[in-house]
Amino acid sequence: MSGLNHEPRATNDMPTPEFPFLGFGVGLRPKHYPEIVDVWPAVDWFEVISENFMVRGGRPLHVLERIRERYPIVLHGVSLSIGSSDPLSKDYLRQLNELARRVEPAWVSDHLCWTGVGGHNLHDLLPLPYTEEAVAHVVERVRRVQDVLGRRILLENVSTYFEYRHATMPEWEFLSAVAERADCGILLDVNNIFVSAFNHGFSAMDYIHAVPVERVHQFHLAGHSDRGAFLHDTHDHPVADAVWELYAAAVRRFGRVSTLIEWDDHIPPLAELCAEAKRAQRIFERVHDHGAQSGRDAAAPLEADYRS
Amino acid sequence: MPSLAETQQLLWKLITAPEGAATGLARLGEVERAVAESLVRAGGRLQPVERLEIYADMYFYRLRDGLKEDFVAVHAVIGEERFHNLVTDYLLANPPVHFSLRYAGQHLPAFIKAHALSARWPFLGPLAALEWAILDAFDAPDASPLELVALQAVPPEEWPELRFDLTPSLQRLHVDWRVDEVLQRVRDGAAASQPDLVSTWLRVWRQEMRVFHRPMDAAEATALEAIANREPFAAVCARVGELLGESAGAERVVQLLGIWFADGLVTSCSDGSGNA
Repeated sequence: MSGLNHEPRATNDMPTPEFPFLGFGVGLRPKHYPEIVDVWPAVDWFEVISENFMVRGGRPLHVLERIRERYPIVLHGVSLSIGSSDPLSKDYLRQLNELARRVEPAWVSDHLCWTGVGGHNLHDLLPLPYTEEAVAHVVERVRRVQDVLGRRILLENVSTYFEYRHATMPEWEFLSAVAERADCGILLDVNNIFVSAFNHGFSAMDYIHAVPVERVHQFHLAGHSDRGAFLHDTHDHPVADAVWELYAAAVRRFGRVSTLIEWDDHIPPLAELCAEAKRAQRIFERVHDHGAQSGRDAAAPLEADYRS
Repeated sequence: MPSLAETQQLLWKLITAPEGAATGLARLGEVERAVAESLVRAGGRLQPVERLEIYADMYFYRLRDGLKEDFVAVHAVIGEERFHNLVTDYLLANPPVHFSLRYAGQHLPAFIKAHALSARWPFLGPLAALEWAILDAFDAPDASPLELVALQAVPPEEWPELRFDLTPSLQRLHVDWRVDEVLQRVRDGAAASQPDLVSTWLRVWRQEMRVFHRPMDAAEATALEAIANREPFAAVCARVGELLGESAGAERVVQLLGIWFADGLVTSCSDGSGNA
């Protein structure tokens, strides 16, 4: 890791202060709370699931505030439901805003998806139809969320298992259009691109190439499961080798982007999780130190094409 | 082309169908089914309905696993298969409405009480209520406990009018079974046997980030109820005195106050004028 007092290195591609380069982090999970506050591991930053801390009190908030004293924190939500046809939940936004003011995260993110409708919550990240109607719908809602929070947010591409017949554009065009028109950032989940590329038969590299460089401010990496007929974004394995290769390609195109390892099931010891973050750092350094520059759409050869 | 709202409503129906998306699709009316069948792009290694089935499975298993974590003892009592079926029935009647998975089980204790399982395990509903109370105490609002020295500083003449505030994590439950003993057995890794049929008051609270529960006798339950109702110390003593006799009642309340302070239950005290 870069260390607790990580200072971004001076390069040509200095990050914007709004979304600073945090280095290489891991998702904060309750299983690791005791160890983290005991040994203060050498990891650059933590990402937390916002909803787990949108509570009235108790241990989770207490632990988070202790960790926040030593590490940058990013709030990553799963229930904003930015693409739902239901009205945005004022109560949810109020609580998220309160948490953001309390924690002062480096930034706030959620997913480009819908998670419920008719007042019900599916507790899952459902894909949106990639249509102009959906772009306009999401853009208007992102603007309102950003107004409430007083900051720009990042939206993450989700892994998907079906596509809509009436979609009029590919996912990367949809993601880019939302980000550009809503003026929000992108949290690019490299594993999700890989999973969805396999599940729908598109090229992961086409995706990487199509996303605007200046919008991407964070990467996610995670493990998935091979179910034979499809890949499942299970977050219960180490990052797959092919996803590491895709990450290298992403670093080559997007440059210095804060990177985070997600692991949500069969969670390993903290050391193993941190080792994954360390591996991301090594790949970043290998790619970055060999001349890739942020903002340059890699003319350099890309390592592989992941068309399934 | 269906609107975004129509699309999402249809998908919700299919994903939450209790026997899966394929069955849910078959049960739609003809018009709605035709629209649903036109939603998902065909092609690739999976049929459209198989793709929806992935979401249907994720919906159910994520909630089932979350509820299993929240109701460990209920799961231990009835076993995996019955718990699975219970969750199926429960979600059909109570699909999640809160943004947090944490609240998915908020209606489960009441649901169990009216469920057929309660005929065989009549203590199951109260057991679920205890587990839910523990969950509520876990993330209840924070409040600093009052030190006993603050109470000792109150002049004796002010005691009759003293009122106490209790920690927001405190909950009082009345159950007909010693479900606290069932929970303890499960936590100890022992078999979850039938508890004694004993009318019992329980209190659940959080102290220094840990959640505790313990049974209360009638005097403590009565006193704590009076305290929670903001009755003054003298009235609390009178209520307990109705159970134990006037002198013993006051003595018992003083003793209970010592226990409550040690357990961190009291967060402030004030006289009738509101002075802390």
